[in-house]
Amino acid sequence: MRHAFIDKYAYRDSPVHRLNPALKVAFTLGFILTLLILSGQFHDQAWLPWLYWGCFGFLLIIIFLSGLPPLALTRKVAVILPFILAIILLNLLAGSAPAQAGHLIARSLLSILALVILVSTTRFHEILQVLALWRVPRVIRLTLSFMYRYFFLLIDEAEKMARAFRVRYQGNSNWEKLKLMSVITGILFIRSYERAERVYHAMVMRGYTGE
Amino acid sequence: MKAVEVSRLNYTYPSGRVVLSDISFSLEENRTLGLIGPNGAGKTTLLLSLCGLMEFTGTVSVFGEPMTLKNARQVRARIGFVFQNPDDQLFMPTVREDIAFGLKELGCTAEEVTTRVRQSLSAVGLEGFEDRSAHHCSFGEKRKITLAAALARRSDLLIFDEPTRELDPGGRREFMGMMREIKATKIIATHDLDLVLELCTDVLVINGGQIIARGGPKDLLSNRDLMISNRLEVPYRLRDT
Repeated sequence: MRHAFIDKYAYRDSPVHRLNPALKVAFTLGFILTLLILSGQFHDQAWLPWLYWGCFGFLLIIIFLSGLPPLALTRKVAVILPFILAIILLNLLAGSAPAQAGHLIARSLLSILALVILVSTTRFHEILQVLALWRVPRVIRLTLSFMYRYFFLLIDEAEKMARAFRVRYQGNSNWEKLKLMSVITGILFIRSYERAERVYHAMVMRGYTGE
Repeated sequence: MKAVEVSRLNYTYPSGRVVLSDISFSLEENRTLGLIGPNGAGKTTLLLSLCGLMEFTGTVSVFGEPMTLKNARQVRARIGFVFQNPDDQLFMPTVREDIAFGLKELGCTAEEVTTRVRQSLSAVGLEGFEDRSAHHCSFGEKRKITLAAALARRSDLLIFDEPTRELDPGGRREFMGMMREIKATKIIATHDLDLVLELCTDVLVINGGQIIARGGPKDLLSNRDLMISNRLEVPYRLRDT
């Protein structure tokens, strides 16, 4: 079973890792907000691409200082890429200018990269502690906590099912494979639903009322 | 005093399948009840019903308090539940937060939470595990953390669903030792008949959602016909060689 998907690199040691978690969370949120506001307010300014490059350079320095493997970070950012491209495609179909699409790609990638750096240099429970300190509603913190806790279980379950499928499937048809994979995905959702029910029972038994 | 009193308990799935049918039994305080039966007998459903987690018909009382929708929370405050799969039970990012979750819901102060977390981890031999992530722990450690979480609440009734399942022999022995030390009323649903023999004072055999037999562990577990007809086995130590 694999254990750490989200904050795998957060258990390393570097000057960035040692920084106060609250500072890192505040900085990341500030960075993303500033980027979004500036790129929204000055979207027609010629210097905007330089701002993006400046931000990228700054994030590269943080990556260098934290000793994070650039390839692993790129892979993490790439996971989100299809979603960004889908949004851009929708925007283009809705009549947005191609330059706007460029802005969207730049600020999305920079924001995601900043978040990936944050979770790669700060343990997830430390981030949750910061959110608790800032009085972020408990339901949001619990949701984040569950996401972190059960994401790897879901991946693990999916891997087990895929392994069982590979062992037993003898056919060659890609279409048939696709059909079977969709059935497996459905079963995975049912299992997740059942697990959610069991987790809820465990929470209720410990006094949880949803408040 | 009766710790648990169940009368004419019935539970049917929405599909119409009867899972529990006319279950009635009682358990005296500080006794340990072993719930045995084949897979699908209704053991887990019965345990969940005792905690008011299933919409059953009939009556369930815990320490004289009837389990109703209105007072379910108060009644549950006296019950600790160790679930079959620790991954369903351990949902917070660190061990400390996981154990503290139930305590905060009970309204304990911050100092009390800290003390109880430390004490309960010490009781299961996991001192210093406070800041670890539960999902980085081994299965045996996770199992102990679930017990610590139940112990921290200082429940009067502890319910265990398959507590020794998937534990290695050493872990199983260790866990049974811890269960033996707990001074509370216990209900244990299990296929581990040696555990029943060692820890339980009373036994219920259920099959097909009905109580088939009740009595002392030695009497029931040595009854070969009863065991075989309910897809169970006479434990080795009770077999005539």
